[in-house]
Amino acid sequence: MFEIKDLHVNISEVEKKIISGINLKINPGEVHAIMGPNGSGKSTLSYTLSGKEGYEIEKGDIELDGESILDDEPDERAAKGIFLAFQYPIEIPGVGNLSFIRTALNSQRKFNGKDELNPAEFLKILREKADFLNVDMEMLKRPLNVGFSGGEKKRNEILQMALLEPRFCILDETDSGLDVDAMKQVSKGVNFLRSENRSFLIITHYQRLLNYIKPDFVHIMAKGKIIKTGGPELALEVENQGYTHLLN
Amino acid sequence: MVFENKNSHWIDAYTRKFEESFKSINLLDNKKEYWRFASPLIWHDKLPIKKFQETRSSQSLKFDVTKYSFLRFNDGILDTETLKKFINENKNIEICSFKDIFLKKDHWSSLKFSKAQLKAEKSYERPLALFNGFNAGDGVFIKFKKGVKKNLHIIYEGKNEKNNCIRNLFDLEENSEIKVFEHFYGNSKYNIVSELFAADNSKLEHCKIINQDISNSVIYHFFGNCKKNSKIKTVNFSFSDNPVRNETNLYLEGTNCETTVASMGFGKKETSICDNTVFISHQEESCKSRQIIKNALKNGAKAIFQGKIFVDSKAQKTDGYQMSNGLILSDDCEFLVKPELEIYADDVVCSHGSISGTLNEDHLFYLRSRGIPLIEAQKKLIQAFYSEILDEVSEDNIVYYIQNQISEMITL
Repeated sequence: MFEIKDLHVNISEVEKKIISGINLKINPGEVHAIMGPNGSGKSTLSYTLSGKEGYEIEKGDIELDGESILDDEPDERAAKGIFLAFQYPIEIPGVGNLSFIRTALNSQRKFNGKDELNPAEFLKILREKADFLNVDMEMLKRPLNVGFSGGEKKRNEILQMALLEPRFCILDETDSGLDVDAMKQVSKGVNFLRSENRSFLIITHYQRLLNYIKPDFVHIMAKGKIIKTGGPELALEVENQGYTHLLN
Repeated sequence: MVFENKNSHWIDAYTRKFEESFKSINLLDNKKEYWRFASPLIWHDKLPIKKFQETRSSQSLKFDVTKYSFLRFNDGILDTETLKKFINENKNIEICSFKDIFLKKDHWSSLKFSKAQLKAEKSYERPLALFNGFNAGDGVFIKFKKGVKKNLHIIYEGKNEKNNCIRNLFDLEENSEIKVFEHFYGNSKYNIVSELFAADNSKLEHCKIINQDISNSVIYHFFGNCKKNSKIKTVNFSFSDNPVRNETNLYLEGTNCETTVASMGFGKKETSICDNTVFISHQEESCKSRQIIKNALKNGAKAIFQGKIFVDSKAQKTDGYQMSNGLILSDDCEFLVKPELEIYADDVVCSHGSISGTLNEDHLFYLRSRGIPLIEAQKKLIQAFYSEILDEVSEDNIVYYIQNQISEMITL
């Protein structure tokens, strides 16, 4: 179970409070969506959960299976099963995509006391997942995300998720920059990964992504707080009426 | 102008000239344009000598002996066994040690010797190349005949705690294709001058690795004259904790020449100075030159790049490019850069740039968010920083070797 307890977060660089007391409990197998207007703190929440530097926790806790992860480095959180699919996946020239994914997978296996995969074992698993997600193997031979289209970058994120098999996945505006077909493909990958042991936190501006990935709960976030929680119908309400009536 | 005395060897006249020129230079003059950032005394004075320690890295670079011929310098002297073996295996290549040239009254190299260096000396003085000119104890002079393809691996191993002055000459005849890999390790101090004469349509890939266990300074002057359609690439790797100066001077004297000078340095101690001073002179039309310099620095290490592209008024359609990057891994490091363009032709494309910074925090976070520990993530990003230089090397074993060296350096 993943739990956020009375979380208050400042961004150190600008000394500004962005999150002002969030409480959220996500059980295994559940899909939660967070929607909210620009500047409500959604991306700050995703970076804070995954341990990015510069996000200062003033108060509160983040727990995975009852244990605080606040002292864990980003790589330790990842190895414990937290995965952030980036809104804008980073391009890193000079780092090979395949080498990166294999290093990530083996680092996590090492952390969890498992044997590292040799190149042949890794490639076998990679091919299976890449085929299913319609990811071109040639694309994977290129430097990490360099020259990838928006759709390719997002599919690469989902491929990494499929290979790393996290327990808790955060999708930060995965639908941004995607056309309808690309969104369907990415959603297909996410739905394939849904299981009773894996939970999701989907951050989005729009209801349309939730047509393809059906959430169990929808939360509306504004001014660093969750102001309303409901079922999938809440996303439709936002789609039809916007946020204004909820904020007043 | 060099004059010969009938009773002396033809090299003697050059030697005297070099000595006279050297003595006319005040090494203490810190206003010399190309020695503003680091005094020649750094390479010229005797440095404290450390005991030679054989490391894993010095042992691990292996070449396929079926593809490479091999020469070794021990304490600055060309090993006669490797020379004999080379002569036996390569009938179409003329080779002679520098010290044996003094035994020969006539030698093909008399038409070339010092020509490339003296041409370069006209643009500005290279005092330590002049010093080499009258102190060189040995070296290797090789003529690769027309159409020859050859891969050569030269090792410089030193345990003698002396200043080894070595003088090489590589003469590439038309259509020859040569790879030369030079590898330094050990204890000695080196002052090396290599001259290159690249005839029409010849190709050279020159790669130099200075290991981290080099416990003294290295200064290496590479003077090249490049003729029509020649393609010259020289790639330098320095991991030394001590001062290294790579001074590369290439004169593009024929049309359609292509040259690349690529250098990477990794300094991890305050005693480390990695100096790349590059002078590319475009003398003829439609030549292309690239300079790519990358230095990663930590713990007070210093790097210098002085790069000049000179374009003569005849050298229309020149394409010149120069880029230097510094990766500053701790606040006490310095990367001093002086890029220069001197252009007298009006139809040219020349550009230069220099960017320095630290490891990108967003890149680090992305890698770590996938479970890659900090040190591994840093290694990946530093290797990525150097990837443009490694892309210039055609031999996979050298690329793996360099990648391993980088990994070792990061953890030190």
